[in-house]
Amino acid sequence: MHSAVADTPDRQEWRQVSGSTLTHHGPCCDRARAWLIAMGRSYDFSSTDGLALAGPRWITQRWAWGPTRWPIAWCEAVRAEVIDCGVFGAFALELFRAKGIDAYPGQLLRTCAEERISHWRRKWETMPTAFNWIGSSVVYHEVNVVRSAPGKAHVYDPTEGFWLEPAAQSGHHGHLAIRAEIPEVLRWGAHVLVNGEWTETAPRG
Amino acid sequence: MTARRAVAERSGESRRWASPPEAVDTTMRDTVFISGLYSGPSPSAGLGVARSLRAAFPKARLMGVDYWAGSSGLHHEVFDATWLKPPWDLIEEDLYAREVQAELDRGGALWIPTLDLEVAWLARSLPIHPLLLAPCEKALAPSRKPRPSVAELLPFEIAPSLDLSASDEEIYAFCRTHSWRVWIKGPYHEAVPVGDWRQLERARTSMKDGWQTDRLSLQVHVRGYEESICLAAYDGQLCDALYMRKRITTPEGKTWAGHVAELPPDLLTPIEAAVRSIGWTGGAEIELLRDVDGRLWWLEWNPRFPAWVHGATLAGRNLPAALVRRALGLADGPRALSAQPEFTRVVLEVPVRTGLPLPLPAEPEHGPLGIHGKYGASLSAIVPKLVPDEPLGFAPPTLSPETETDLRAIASVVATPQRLFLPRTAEAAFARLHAAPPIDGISLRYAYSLKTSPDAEYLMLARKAGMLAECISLLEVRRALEAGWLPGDIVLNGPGKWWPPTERAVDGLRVVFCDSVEELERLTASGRTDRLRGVRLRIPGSHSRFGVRVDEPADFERLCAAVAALPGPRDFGVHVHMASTMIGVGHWRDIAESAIAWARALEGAAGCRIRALDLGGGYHPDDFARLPFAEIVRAARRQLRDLADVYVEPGRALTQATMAMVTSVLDVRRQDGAIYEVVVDVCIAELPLASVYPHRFFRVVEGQLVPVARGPVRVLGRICMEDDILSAGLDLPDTLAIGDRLVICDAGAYERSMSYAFGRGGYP
Repeated sequence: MHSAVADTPDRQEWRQVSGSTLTHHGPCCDRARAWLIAMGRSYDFSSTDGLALAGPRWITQRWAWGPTRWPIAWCEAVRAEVIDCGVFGAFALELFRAKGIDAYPGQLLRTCAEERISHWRRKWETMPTAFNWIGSSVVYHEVNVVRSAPGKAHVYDPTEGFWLEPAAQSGHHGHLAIRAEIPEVLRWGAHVLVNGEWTETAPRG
Repeated sequence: MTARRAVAERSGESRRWASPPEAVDTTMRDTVFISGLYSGPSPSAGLGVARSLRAAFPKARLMGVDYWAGSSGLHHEVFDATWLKPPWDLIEEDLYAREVQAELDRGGALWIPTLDLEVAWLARSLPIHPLLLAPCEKALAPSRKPRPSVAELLPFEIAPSLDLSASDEEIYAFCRTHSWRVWIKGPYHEAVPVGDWRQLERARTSMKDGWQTDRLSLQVHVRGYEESICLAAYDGQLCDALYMRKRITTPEGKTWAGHVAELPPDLLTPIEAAVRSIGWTGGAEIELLRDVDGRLWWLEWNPRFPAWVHGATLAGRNLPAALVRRALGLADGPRALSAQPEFTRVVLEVPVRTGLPLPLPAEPEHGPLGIHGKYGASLSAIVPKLVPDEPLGFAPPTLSPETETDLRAIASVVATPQRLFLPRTAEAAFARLHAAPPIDGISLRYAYSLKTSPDAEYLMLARKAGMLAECISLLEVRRALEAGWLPGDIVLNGPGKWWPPTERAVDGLRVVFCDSVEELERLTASGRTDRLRGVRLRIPGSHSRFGVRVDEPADFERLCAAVAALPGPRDFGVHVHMASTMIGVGHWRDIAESAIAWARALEGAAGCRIRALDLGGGYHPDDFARLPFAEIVRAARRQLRDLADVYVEPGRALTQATMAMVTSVLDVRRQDGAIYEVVVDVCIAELPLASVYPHRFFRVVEGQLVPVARGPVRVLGRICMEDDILSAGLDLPDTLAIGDRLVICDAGAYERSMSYAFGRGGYP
């Protein structure tokens, strides 16, 4: 079995990278965070639907996905029209935590069709300070790891607005490995997540 | 021994093979009739069943059965031959039942229906037969909508539902309780979402006309992923079952692509028990929703294979073949899922079958005529044959003791239409507003909404109940002052509150809530000395034209800047108003809690102190007592440390039920002796919200009130407006005569204050 992580030596930075964080200027960023959290409550139909774990799907609809010029501050991020998965991850983390859900940064390695990768590479080259998330056939992606019950994790992809299924899905868009910044060991389906360690979720190739 | 098994053994059909079968059985040469070949955007399962059987039994003779020449599955090469029977509105049922029976009795012919209504018809029309692979009537009954008893045997949550035979009051309350996230469902299939009372009335009428029955129901919408269980069973024994998660659906909600998996063990055992309990034979699909918290919700049990069944076959699980094997006594086939458990659909063109040309199109019309679904044009013909014959009773409306006493006054009504004020009902409503002690140090204050009913009787009752006054114009402020309120008792709201400019803009009001940042800036510069000022917020996603927008960061920044410009200590208020009558109780609570979140954001970002939260009005009388005001106040207390007052502005809740309209019958229209329409002397000018919410109707019979339930008789108003329809249907007796009187309750509040003069030969 190949190791998804070992197969990407050209991406050493992926092995240790933490979840993206937005910088904070001061009062302008306080207002931006306050605005984001209030928006989250307006779109969280917790009483109407009676759901505890509903994801912040509205951010997926509101912002388009694309390259972000890093570093980026809260006040800049909320006004941006296009954000990358790191900003999506930071927004969703803030929104989950604001409603009392235990949520943590998470990173995925994903397979991606090579013809699509070459397209993204050209697009990202237009913004030199953007995070280099694109490998040869594997890409880096930021998600949220949510503790849904003691010892149990759910994984939310705020860029695409869905909950990931732990079962391996081979081929394009399937996840190969996951890393979470979590205070305790959590189980995601059959996978055991340990703080800061990459967990293989599927064989590569 | 069951009847089906006994018949099978008598007819010598049991042919179990001793050796294990192959996945492909070339010795099976029986004929299988498969009905339901519509293959449009909402397809029947016939084609999928046939393709699955062909994959397992290449030598079988597959007969495609349908009742409309436009069902495109008829032309698929999988069928050896077709049976194009007459449409259901023309078919001779007894003859057709004998034809089906003859094919079954001939030996070696099986029948797999995939149309819900045909399954129901077969269960009624044919005796149990070992080769009729469909449920019998006894098995079918526990699976019927709206509350199938088989659901109780399964470990699923059941979405709340309500028969539409309930009274309109109960139906309306159900919809409000569930925040108008409800579906009207037909007796066999079809579901239409409804978002308000008008939509509900339209959908109810349309569905009643289409299905030719009142046996409809409401079901609460569940936000969840669409999943389903497909099963095949024979004589109460499960042949096979699997689980499918929809990956892609069509705009109509039909499966386009899915992921097939084994049925989880915790579901397999109860499914086996349920199938055994009801003695199921045939295919079935249990439609489910899985919410994001992981709960599985029951949607419905379809009495046939799903249209995607061949997708499961491609994934390695051929349920139609499993059913046929069991019926013929063959050994079970393989059950291993393939390495590719996902399937998707594509659109393919096929040549039309020789001798079965396409139907000619109907002459074009100015509308969607000529569009046929899986039942062709004859859906309405088959349903009356299946729906129970006994008449459906609808629950009648009820009255409170106070209203019943008040309505004795109808005896003194001379001229009609006349709106009666119901004093005991009103006193009881206002008396329920007892002064509550502060909650966590915060006062919950009621402000009477003058616009709802500015009559002197109500103003007096409001003052007596210790209410404040809520006004939306300077004329209303004057009216409140004249009624005895002081400026410090008045809350001023609305987008045009300073109208008319000729009126004195009384200063020193309790709170003024601005409807825009511009208004707030003008107010700040005005030098007024009102006790508090604030803004009405347009809560994102709430579809309102009122209040200050905050759904862009720049809008929020601008509001913060305007608040920061207030003189110290920058005391401020936040107002929201979304009528629970319109959006429902749960969503109202979400809006209220969202207002608290925005107030907190504003407090932190603008450096102000939020001193007041105004939750607006628009409450239904029945909801008002049940809304969790105290919980909202406590939640606000936790978030807003300087909060002092929470305002609630009831008007409709206190006054809607406190007036009734007495009206006389002007015309009675009959068809074949049966009454179908009446014209009365009241109209939408006096009841402008007649179609917006349900009203309680009563007949006056020898001076007594007789409640009138729903029924077939439309009640039309007196004016020449197409929409002057006061009720879509009431159960009025054939004996009703011109001059008879009706009483229409719930005619207070906006029915009174928004009424207008029309068709009276002049202006008031």
